Amino acid sequence: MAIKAFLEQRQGHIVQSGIPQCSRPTIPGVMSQRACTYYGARWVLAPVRNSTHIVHAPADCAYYGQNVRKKNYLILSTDMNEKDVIFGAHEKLERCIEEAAKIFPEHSMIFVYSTCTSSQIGEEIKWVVEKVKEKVQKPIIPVEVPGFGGFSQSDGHHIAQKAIISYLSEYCKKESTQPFSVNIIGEYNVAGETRVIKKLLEKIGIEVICSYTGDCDADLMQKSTSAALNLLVCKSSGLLLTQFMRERYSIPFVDVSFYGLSNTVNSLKKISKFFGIEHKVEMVISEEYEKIRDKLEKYKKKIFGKKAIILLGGSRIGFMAGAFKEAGLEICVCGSQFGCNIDYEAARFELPSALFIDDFNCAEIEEILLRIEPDVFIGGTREWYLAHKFGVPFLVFPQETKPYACFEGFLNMCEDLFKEIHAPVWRLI
Amino acid sequence: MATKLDSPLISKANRHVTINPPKMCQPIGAMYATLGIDKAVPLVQGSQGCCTYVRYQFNRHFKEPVNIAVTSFHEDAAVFGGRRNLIEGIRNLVFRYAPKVIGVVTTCSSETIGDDIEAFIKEAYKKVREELGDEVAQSVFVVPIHTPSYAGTHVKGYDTATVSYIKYFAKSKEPNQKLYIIPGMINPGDIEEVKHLLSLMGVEYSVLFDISKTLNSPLMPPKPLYPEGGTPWQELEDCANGKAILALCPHAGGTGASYLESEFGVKSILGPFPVGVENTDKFIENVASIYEIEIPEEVKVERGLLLDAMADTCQYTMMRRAAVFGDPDIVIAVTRFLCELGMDVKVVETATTSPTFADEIKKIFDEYNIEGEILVDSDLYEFEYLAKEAGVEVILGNSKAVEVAKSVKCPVVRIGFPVYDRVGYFRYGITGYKGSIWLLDLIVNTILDYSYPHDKLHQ
Repeated sequence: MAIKAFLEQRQGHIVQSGIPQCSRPTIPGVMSQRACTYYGARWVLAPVRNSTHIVHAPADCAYYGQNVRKKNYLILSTDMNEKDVIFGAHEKLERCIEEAAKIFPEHSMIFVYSTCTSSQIGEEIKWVVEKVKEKVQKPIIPVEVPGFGGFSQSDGHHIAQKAIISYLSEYCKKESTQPFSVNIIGEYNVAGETRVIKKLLEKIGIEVICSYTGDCDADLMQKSTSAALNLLVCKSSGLLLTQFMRERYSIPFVDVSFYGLSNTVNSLKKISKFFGIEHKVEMVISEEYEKIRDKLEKYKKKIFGKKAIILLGGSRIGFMAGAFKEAGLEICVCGSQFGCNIDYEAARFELPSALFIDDFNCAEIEEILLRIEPDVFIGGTREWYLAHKFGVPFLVFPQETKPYACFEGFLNMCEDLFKEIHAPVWRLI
Repeated sequence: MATKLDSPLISKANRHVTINPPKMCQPIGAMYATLGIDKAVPLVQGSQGCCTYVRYQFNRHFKEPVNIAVTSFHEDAAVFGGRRNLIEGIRNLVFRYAPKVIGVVTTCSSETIGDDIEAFIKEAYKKVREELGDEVAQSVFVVPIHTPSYAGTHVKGYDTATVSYIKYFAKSKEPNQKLYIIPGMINPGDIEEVKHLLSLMGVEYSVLFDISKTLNSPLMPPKPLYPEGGTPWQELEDCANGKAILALCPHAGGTGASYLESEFGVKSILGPFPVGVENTDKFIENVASIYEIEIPEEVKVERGLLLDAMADTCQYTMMRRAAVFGDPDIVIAVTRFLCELGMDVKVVETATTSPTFADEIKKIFDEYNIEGEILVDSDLYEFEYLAKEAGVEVILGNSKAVEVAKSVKCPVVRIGFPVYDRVGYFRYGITGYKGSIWLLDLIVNTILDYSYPHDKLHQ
């Protein structure tokens, strides 16, 4: 009876055709790969340079939120103790903000996060922020992200975007439009992708003003309102912001992706069409492709037809599925911790017959590893060592060092796949 | 210690805001202990992040998969309580993973709303019995561990877990001759080293919460559902009848050991964490005096090897300025060892509140005639400032030390947990004479790598 009840709970989340049920609560007691809303917000906001980040919670939320995306960031905490939980800590937060402004006068803005505990005891960070704003003379942006305030980190991405929107609408006005300039939205520069994308766009004569939030600070945000076009990379975490900028600053946007060759080429064409510079693009594309062609062919031959499982975050499954297919992998299973309908539709378009899993857990990963025996598993750090224990090569994404974006990134990706799959260790087991 | 600081806000004592806190939450400590029990799964009663972040730390430090389940608090649970989540969570976990022990680790949110964990567990048992039968219900132990993060750090979490488990399991039966060890939040390599010493002594022992195999397991497909190793629950039951219990880290495990003494009369010894000459000596002496045995020749040889290594390298270590931060017991032991090496310890910090830490360090400083800063319950911002002021030449700490060292412009020796930016640190213990030799080599080589000319032949 229990078995039946349990499987029923997961039915509809695992499908061989169509779109799995998604954006639903996680079943208690499973080893879910999902994270909390606060995690999502940190992921988006952490790299905003020249900003102070204060977490209104016990110190640990700050501790864990200090390193996001394999980097360490400066982080402040109100370090709530028992007394604060019982009597409230408005005053403490107020003082913390004032002190932070004094200690880091060079920072041009302050983010204040609330998490589980502070939300539960009813700390009104917005009210505190309003109160100290005048004293501090700096933009302070409240980010209300109780960890339980959603089903996954995806909700945190939205809240973070709203925080950026509230900053823009309060402090940034549109003055002029710069021709041939764009913002990239939903690009987080995990392993230097922003640099690669910028370089490529510069080649066709387009300047990147601000990359939300991979290459971003208060100054760049101010300037970003003068862009001629927005490039939307991650739909689920960037759509709100692009829509806001279209309405507020009349900046149109196009969907792009720089993962995989055909994605990159299509995106470049879209962008150049908008600016009316199509003539430049063809040359740049063939030039860039020539650079990587020989090496790429070599690697592709070695990874062609390998069976793969991809378990990635939200919007990545769509465009990464295309890129991996292009590299020659045969993708049997595709899953996401927090994908939404749009993400799964995009992925299904690429993978008409793959098994789709929403909010997969450890037990299910173990099951598919045993049943499918893939040649390579592509996922995040938490699945990494599990796959290894089954003797399955693993490609970690977001990647360790090199960017996977654009032409040179695609070569990096194929190279890494080759290295993982053909490491002698897998033959020695 | 009087400190002269430029701005009053640099000292943690003068401000409310904490900058770069080097302390983790209670739940991670409780999970650390739970992962050392055979076929045990921690079940986090809280939001998904409380589990994800922690798993991420374990994954990156040990390069191992870890089984940690979560009851996934969403808004409804956070407001109305986690009753349904916990009951369903336990049932699902029992069904899916058939664990022997489930450690229910509470979090801030669960504690704030006042979940009655004990009552929920009773209900969960009832549900398991109804759905899966009596036999299944009787074969699993569900242990509540209360760990709200706002009342302590990971060290306290570990401590709370030890006492919760011992209270739950320990039963008075036939007395045995075993020495029980509560290791604390230390690495698999550290535990192996302690076991090695105890074997040399010829003592019958058992390590409670033994992560040495569960968090360092071989790649041998097919993968078992649970990693081999870990303390069987029977040992936890039997520890009430042991000859003595030794908490290597008094802050993390001391309460468990003391409970065992007061409740069952098992002789308890708290610390010291056996790093360096004197602390390891004390550890060996303690064990020898419990069992009234002579110290074996092999142990003396190992001690001699450590002294030899110290003599060979004292030109590099003498008067080198160092700074240490981390968990209290480890920092106390490492500080003593650094002093034994003739190093000039300038700043010592722990983020955990401790009534004994400052006194212990003061004692060491007095013994070795050192004037250094002692920071308790502080943060890395103050640590960094003082280290810079003192012109520190080497910093010892976990991976969080890297950023500090960059700004101080000195090398880092990685100790403690978590070390995620280097591989293999969990494999090599710093405990015992042999472990201390490894730590010494690590310190000297790090210093040489950083500041010694490449073409020197060191002779």
